[in-house]
Formats: sequence, C-alpha cells, structure tokens
Amino acid sequence: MKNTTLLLGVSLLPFIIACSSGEDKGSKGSNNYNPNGATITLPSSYTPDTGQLLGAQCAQCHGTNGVSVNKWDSIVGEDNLHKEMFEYENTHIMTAQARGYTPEEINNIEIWVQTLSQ
Amino acid sequence: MKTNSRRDFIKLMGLGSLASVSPTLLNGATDKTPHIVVVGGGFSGITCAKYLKMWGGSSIKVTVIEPSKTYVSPILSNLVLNGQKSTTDLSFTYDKSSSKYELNMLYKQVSNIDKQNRTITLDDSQVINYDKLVLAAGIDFEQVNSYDYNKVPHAWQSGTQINILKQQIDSMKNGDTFVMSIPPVPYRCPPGPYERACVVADYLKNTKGYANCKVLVLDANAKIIVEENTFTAAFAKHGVEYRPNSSVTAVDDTTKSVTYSNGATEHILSATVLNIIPKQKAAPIVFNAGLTSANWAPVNPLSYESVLFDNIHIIGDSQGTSQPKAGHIGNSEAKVCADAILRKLNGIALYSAPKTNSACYSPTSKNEASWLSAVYKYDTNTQSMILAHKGSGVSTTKHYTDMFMWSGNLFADTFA
Repeated sequence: MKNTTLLLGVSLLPFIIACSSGEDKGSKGSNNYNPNGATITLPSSYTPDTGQLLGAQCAQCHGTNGVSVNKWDSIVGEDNLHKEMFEYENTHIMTAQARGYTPEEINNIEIWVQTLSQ
Repeated sequence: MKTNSRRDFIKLMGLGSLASVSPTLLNGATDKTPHIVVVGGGFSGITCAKYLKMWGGSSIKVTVIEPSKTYVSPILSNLVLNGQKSTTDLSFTYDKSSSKYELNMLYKQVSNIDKQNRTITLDDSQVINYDKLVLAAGIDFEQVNSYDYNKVPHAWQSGTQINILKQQIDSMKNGDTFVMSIPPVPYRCPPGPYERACVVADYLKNTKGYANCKVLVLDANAKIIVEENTFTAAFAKHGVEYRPNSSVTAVDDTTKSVTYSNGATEHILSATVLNIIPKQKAAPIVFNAGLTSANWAPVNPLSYESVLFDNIHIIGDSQGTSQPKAGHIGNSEAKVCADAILRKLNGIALYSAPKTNSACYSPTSKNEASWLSAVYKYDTNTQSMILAHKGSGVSTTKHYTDMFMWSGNLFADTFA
C-alpha cells in the first residue's frame, strides 16, 4: 500500500471499538450480532461462511442477521427452514422467493441461522 | 577537521530520536490495515460498507464518501405524490450506523480517481488512498434536449425533485393533464413509472375528487415491462391512458409540451404537469474513471469488480449486469461484493455460486399494492446472473400493508 498523506492519517481517526452489551432489546437472538441494538461486536478477522453469505440475502425482508424490525418473521434459530420457506400458498411472495434457492442452499442458510441463536 | 557522523549531526541539531523515524511514521500513516473506500451512500453503497465491517471487522478500514448527510429514499417516494408520506419520512442519516459499524464518513464529492496509484482526490483537495474501491453512485440522465428539471421534474431521484413534482400535482385542477414518459430499458426501478401513473390517477380522481383529469403514459418500450397483467388492470381501473412504442424526441419546459415519435410519425402533447423520466446511464464518476462500456460499467458478477480495471468494484444501478436496477437488488449485490472483497484480501477464492434477489411492492392506489419477486443465480456458461425464479402478485389491500413490512426491513438492513 502506498504511503498515505498526512491528511489521510487525520481522516482515519481511530474509532472506539464497540462492545456488544449482549442485550436483545426485545428481538430474538442472543448472539453478539444483534444489529438492532445500539452497538454490535465486530469480528477481528474475516471467515468465509456460505450460509452467512446466502442468508444475508434474506435480510432485505427479514432483517439484518435474521432479526426483523416489524411483524414479518425473524428467522433467527429456525430449525426447519425449508418447511418455513414453503409454508405459504403458491401465490405468496415467500414461495416465489423460496423457489429461487436449491435445497442445499437452504440447508446452508439454516445452519447459519441456527448459529445466530447460540 | 573533525568529521561528524550523521548521528552526531542530528544530536547537534537537537532533532533527537525524531530523526531516526521516517516521514511516513511522522504522518501517523504506517497502518497496513487494508483500506476500502465506498463512494455513494445509497442502498448499495451503505449496505456494502456495513457488511464489509460486519464481516471483516477490525481487519479492514472502511471509508464512505457521500456528498449528502441525508439520503432520501426513492423507494416509497410515489407515496409522497399522493400525500401519504413525506420526504422527511423517507430520509435517512448515517450517524448511528457509521458509529455502530465504525465507518469513516466523508461528506464530500470526489473530483478525481487515480486508478494506477489507487488514490481519490476530493473536492477539498484531500487525497485518499485505497486498496479497494467500491463505486455505488447511482444513475445519471440523458436529456433529449436541454430543459429545466425544476419545471419538468424527473423525480427519479428523491428529495427536492419529488417535492417539486408533488407541488405541481397539487396545483392541478379538474380537467388538467398529467403526462409521464418512460425511458427505454434499462432504467432504475422497472415497476416505478407504472405505479406512479396509477397512484397519481387514483389521487386526482379519488382524493382530490377530480372526475376529468387525464393521466397519460408515453412508454418508449413496446409494452409494460413488468407485471404486465397487474398494471394493465390497474390502468383500466384508474383510467390511465397508455401509449407504448412512444419515444420522447423533444421537451419544452416553457409550454410543458413533449414531442414523441412512434415509428414514422411525430406527435406533440401539451400537459399541465409533465413528468419526463429521462433515459438513464451510469453515474458520471464511473464514466470519468474510464470504467464504462456503452452506458454502464461491465463487472464480474462474482465480485462486482470491474472487468476493465482491477480493485475497483461497481454495484447498484451503475453496474452493467443484466440484473434490474433498484434499491433492493443493489442492497443484495452489495453483500456479494463485500464478501468477494474480503475473500480477495484474505487470498480466498471467490464464492462460485452467489445468489441475489429482487423484490418490490408497488402501490397502485392509496390502499392497494402489487408485488414482484426475482431470484438470480450465476450461470458459468455465460458468466452472468440469470433468473432462478420469478413471480408477482396482483394489487390487493393486504399487499399494501405488506409493503411497509418489506420496506421497513429493507431500510433497517440498509441504514441501521
């Protein structure tokens, strides 16, 4: 990486590392990744996780890390995700979305959402 | 003559231990933590920044460059036109999320990108170094001729524009005409123009009580491009006149008239309110950086890295895959991009089968909405994202309520 300028050094002011309170503030999921609290624990390194990547695609409708901000379902800790995703009628938006994923992908997402409640 | 060593000279000059330190360290800038810069704080940009930090944590530094401290969502903005929402309701700031996810926010414009040296110059002359750059700057417009957006608003970026259009609609009287034009694909938010026409028609007739207003749609495309049955029915219900194959060739912002052609013939229409949605292309920053082909930025769908230059990723409306352009799918792409950047920084192979999705609820009146859904998968033969499955739902009052559940979680996932 090229040498940075003085201005860059100033602009990259160190932030205080946020510490997770572990509190859920009323939403499901007791892990450190509850995004609806004021703070969140960030990792110190990146670990690739297929279920996490695929499951992140659920967040648009079900909330970050599976924690919904409204009456639509949270998916934290779902232990029969395939059944859940296909429980609605054929004309339902969840069914339309679910049909875009393979059983293997849904299994991977389920493994990940299980970790969210640990 | 006494020979002084360099060390003796330094001691003599009183510089002490400072002199043994390189200029780089004096600037406090030897941090080797990879620095990712994201330009643009909309649905794709800020989601990318958030997920980079959520997944990469302290192993990376993330800076977001966004000129405005407030983002006004185009999603749900047609509900501003019928008075059900305000732009304040749809405004988001970055304070909480930037603090929570340790995002360095720079509320500046980019004036230049030096791709070779991996630096960005801001409009205040600050120079920022990056290891990876993400451009998420949205769309730009092509006018058919020069005209004033304050008089003939596109309202296809929210905030001021949508309020101008709202004021114009609210000034309409019974018997007045609202003419909207739809550009050729691809454009941001495929169902958006059709839903706007329906919402405006319903508002004029059923909220304002005007029985004789006319709502007319000029569509450059050959037919309604999404939810054709739904919008055909909604147009019939709300009395919207629809003219396909109608390409705008001239706009006069003084007379509020539009010239359009459908094949060989040209026609001129006058309107009380003229809403021309111009032809769209990638944001200027992407063109200026030499990252476009035709009007969009070609990228690798596994990472959104430009195929024209390494270490620069383009997500959201500006990128040139065939995926639709919209906030929901921009948020979706951002996650694939964030993961790909983190893999590259860690020497891990890209995930070979990413999925993205699009979903959108469209209000068609003050109490009904339809929806569409699509999931995309990577096709190794064409090296592109192709449809895995799609679906849509007709206008109902239940879907109108669901619309706020969908958008609520999308907004939170993006901005919170």
